[in-house]
Amino acid sequence: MPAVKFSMFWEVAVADQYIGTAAEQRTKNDLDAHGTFLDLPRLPREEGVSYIKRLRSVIPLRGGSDQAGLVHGITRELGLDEKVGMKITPIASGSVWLAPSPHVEVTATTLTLYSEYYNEDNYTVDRTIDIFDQGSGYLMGDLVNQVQLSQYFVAELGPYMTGDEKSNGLIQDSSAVVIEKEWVPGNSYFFLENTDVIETSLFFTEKAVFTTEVASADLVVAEGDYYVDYPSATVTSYGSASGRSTCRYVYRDFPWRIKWSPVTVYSLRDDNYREKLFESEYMLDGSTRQGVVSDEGSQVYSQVFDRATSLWGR
Amino acid sequence: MLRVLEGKRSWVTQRLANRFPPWSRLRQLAQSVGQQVLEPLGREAENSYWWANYNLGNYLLNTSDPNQLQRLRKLALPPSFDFRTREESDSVLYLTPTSVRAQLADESWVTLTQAADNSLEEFWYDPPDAITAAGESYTYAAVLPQRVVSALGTVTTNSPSVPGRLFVTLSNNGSSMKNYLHTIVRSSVEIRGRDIHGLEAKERIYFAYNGTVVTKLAWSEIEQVSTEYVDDSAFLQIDWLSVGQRTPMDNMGLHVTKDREKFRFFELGTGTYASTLRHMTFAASDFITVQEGSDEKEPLLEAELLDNNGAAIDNAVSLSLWPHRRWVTVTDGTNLHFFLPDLETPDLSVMKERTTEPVLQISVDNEWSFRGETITLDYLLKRPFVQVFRIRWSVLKPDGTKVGLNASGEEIAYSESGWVRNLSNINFGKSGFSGDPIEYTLPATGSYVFYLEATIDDRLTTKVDPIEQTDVWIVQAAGNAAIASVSIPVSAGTASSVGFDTYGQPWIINDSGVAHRLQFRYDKYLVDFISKLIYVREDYNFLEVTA
Repeated sequence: MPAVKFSMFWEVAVADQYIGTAAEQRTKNDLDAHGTFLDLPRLPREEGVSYIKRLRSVIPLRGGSDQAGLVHGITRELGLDEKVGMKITPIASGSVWLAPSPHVEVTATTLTLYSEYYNEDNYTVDRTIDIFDQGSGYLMGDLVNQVQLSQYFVAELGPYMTGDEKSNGLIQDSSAVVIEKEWVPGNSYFFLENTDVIETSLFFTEKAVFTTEVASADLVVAEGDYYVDYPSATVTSYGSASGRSTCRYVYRDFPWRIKWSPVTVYSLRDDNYREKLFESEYMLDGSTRQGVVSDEGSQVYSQVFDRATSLWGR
Repeated sequence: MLRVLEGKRSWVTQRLANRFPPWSRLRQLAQSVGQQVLEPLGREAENSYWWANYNLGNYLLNTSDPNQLQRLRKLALPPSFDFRTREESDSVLYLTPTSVRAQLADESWVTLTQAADNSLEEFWYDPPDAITAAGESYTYAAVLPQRVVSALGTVTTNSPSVPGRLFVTLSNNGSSMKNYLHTIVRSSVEIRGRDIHGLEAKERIYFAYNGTVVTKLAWSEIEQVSTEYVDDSAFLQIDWLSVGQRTPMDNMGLHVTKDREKFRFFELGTGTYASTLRHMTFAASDFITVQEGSDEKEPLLEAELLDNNGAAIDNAVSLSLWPHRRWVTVTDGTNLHFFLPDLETPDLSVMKERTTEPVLQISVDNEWSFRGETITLDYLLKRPFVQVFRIRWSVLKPDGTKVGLNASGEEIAYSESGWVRNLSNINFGKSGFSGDPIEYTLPATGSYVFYLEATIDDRLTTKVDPIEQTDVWIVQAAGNAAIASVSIPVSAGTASSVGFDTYGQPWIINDSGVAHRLQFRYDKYLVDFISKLIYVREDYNFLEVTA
């Protein structure tokens, strides 16, 4: 019944009034059902658009126990975004790269630009850039500027980067992509699916057709001769492949897109990362070894021991 | 079912009516008694169809509605709080709270309205009550601005401002089925580039006809666009917003006539007085002909656009279909208006003034029309052996006045002098009957009830007494009133187009070419009288509930 107040002459019914703050009421919908299926629960207060983007990333960016898998999984579960951090392209003169054998590699701590990589006698590092600290800065924009100083490579930010992201978020990878198995078509002249194949990396399983590699297409004159034009990945052989055999190779994926995530994962056993965690001591013979724990290392270890049960001295 | 659907004529009604024979009045006329009976069934069937389709979409992740019913806010009223009640003879009814107000983040108060029928559907799936803010903004650039296919070799593409699925529009392609060495092949477009995760991806899109297709993959960069079996003179456009579609297809409704069913498209038209919503279909009679390249569209009906106060919108500039919702979203630059595309059902109660099966019947070129349009009225003698002594035309206008019409369609007083005698063309000849058409221009929006009174002598009966008959026909000068009209924040500028991205988020592009994402606010509440709970959608500072 409404609250009733009595005045001297008549009854006045005063309506109940209440002022308060509404509390959140979670209701599950079909997206949460997809989340159950994909083992990705909704974050607190997460709206559908963000959640559906995360759900759609589960299959292409598989979580796992390796470095990339951990980055994929942790980034997604925290509701963050992986992006293309930067694009690196070798500088070319006409259609030929200035670097004889370009290669780019991201380790835990460095971005290394090789002008010549797949030549064992003579591999040449063009630049090694510390992705934690480029001297002048530590952001993606600074890192791009550092790459631009190279005479062999140009870099640009990924399409959704502002340049103000921390540059040590680059995910460890290299510009070389391994193709474990590709079907060889039953022809004597064909293209591989990827161009810029690395010279020493191509192996055919059908040895009867691909026996002797020769230096030019004109020299393919006898059974078993074959010629590969590596930049265009064109194969010319004397006999036709059976169409049931495979090959494997490594190719250069330029322009190479380096993935970036706000989440970084390091192994404490990673040699490159240990150089960040420990001061280097120079030995008399010119070699170095890891000495006392550095500033960065003490921070990392104190946080690790904070969370992990440690059994010092037992 | 949405309350606002109840006044609308459902497209399913005609589909049901088409189970009747072609000569039946039920099948031929929307205002026949039979269709009045079918209308509630059609409406319910349409609603079930819509929800079945919606739920089917949510079953797959790629077609899910990201904005389906989710996080609510709940205000628990204290146990001492009592709602008003009304005591009936056999029950006690709870009454709606007299006022529910909410304080916004800027400490101003808004009045909330109860969802119609206190239903969850109205609460969540109604159009918004306000636009709170323009979200992120980008200088708008299409991923691939419209380009002739022969020049595709030299194009540069832009990364979509919001990575996601893309709208690919092909136009001027002629037939989508090309004869290549006596093999029929399909036109297709292949996109290569990077998906939303930066991974290498490619997708081939097949086109059955000139139009817009949404990609299956979500893209962040397009590196290469190539076409197969597409005319060199065709145009290709790739967009991250739906703004490139000039006549979007309604994928949740059809245009059903008494003869056939067709896809329906919407576009903005220019009426005499105001902007109109034009329903279009392919002019070709079958879809094979459309795929062969005859894909011109023809307008079928048009409705004048009115805002939610009933005032005409005379400068609508852009239209878009809201994905996963029933609304057609229209902007006039400063406002967004939300429409249900189907037409209002006119008040058919006046049909009771119609004589049962009159011999002299009204024939109009169009049942649905719009203000300012001129319609042609004719009379039909339905069978021979009838002598017509005299007829009288009159019309009941939307403002309630009834006037007579003379032989040239001009308005005259509705009086005895309106009768026309000695009719020419009144004889039923070998080739049937030709009437004496008059033209009438509809000066206002609303229902026009035309009356054709006649005095006839039916020679098939033995009686020679004159028989008085009246036929009634309703022509609606259709106005489509917006269910909601909300103003675009000044900070977003004057909209020149409205569109949605593939996450169903609304965007406008303003006249300086900047795309702004809009954030809607929904000031609706639901009340649970028994548990004493008030549900709202937004994060208000406070709610004030007065019983």
